[in-house]
Amino acid sequence: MARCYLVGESIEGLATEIFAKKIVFNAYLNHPIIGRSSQYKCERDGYAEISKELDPKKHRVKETSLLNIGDCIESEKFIILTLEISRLDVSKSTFSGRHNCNHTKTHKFTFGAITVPFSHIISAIINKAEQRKITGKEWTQKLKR
Amino acid sequence: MNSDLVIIDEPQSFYLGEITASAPETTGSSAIEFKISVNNMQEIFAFTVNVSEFKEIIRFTYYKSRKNELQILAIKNLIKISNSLQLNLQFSEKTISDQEFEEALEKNPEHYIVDVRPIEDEGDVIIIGDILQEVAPVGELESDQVANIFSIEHDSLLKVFQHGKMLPGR
Repeated sequence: MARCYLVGESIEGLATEIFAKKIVFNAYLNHPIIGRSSQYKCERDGYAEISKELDPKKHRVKETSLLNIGDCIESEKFIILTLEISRLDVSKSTFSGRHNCNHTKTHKFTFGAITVPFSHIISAIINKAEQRKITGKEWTQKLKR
Repeated sequence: MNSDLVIIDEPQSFYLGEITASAPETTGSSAIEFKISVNNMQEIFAFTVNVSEFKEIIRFTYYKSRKNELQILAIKNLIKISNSLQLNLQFSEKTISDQEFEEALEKNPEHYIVDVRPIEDEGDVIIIGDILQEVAPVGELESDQVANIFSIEHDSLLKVFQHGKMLPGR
């Protein structure tokens, strides 16, 4: 069971469970690989988990997508592309003891991809990049000595 | 002499007559000479440009025409998205039946469904960036919205950004 947190990371499955504070319909798309599909946008902390694997278990949209049952994407914002054209039933759910959120299920091919990761992950990446810069400067100072 | 030097797709009315240009190879200089005449009667306009200037003109003209194409595409897609949101709302509020909903999508897909495809020319992203800067005061768009509006597959748009080594996020 793997989890994704970064921009562009994705899952592909025949059925998925989606939890997010905001799940809204975005657009109908004619995707070059999937075909006619509907796109949903999930915002404000959410995750999507594969509840049924593809058969055969092969990537359709992206080669790096996770395909195993239980694999999920977790982020601030992500998009869901599903072959289900009719509207998804979104219901209120108790995600944890304190926090409510919206919940929905897809029953056809679904592709989910992260668009905006959690803010602490963005800041961690920026910090890492800054640290690399500092070590680079230190190296040049050492070389000068 | 290179006659019919028609590089730009402009309306026919733009061409007053025959346009001729002498290429640098034939004149032996780095300048291109243009002569414009109306119905082969009389030369009405003649000018000479350097090859480098000429390239700039072509680049600028391509930029302008491509920007225009992308702007029209964006308007078309925004109308489609607006239509599909309305249809979806009607369906969820049960003002239209399942059958009516499916019929609307089946009969007029061009009114509701946005075609997305992998990005063909990465240069388009620069032009899209310029368009977005102009609309920025209205509101910022996220990568998935930009992809839908400009008929680009979201993943291929992200690849262009990652290739340009932009930080993840918006």
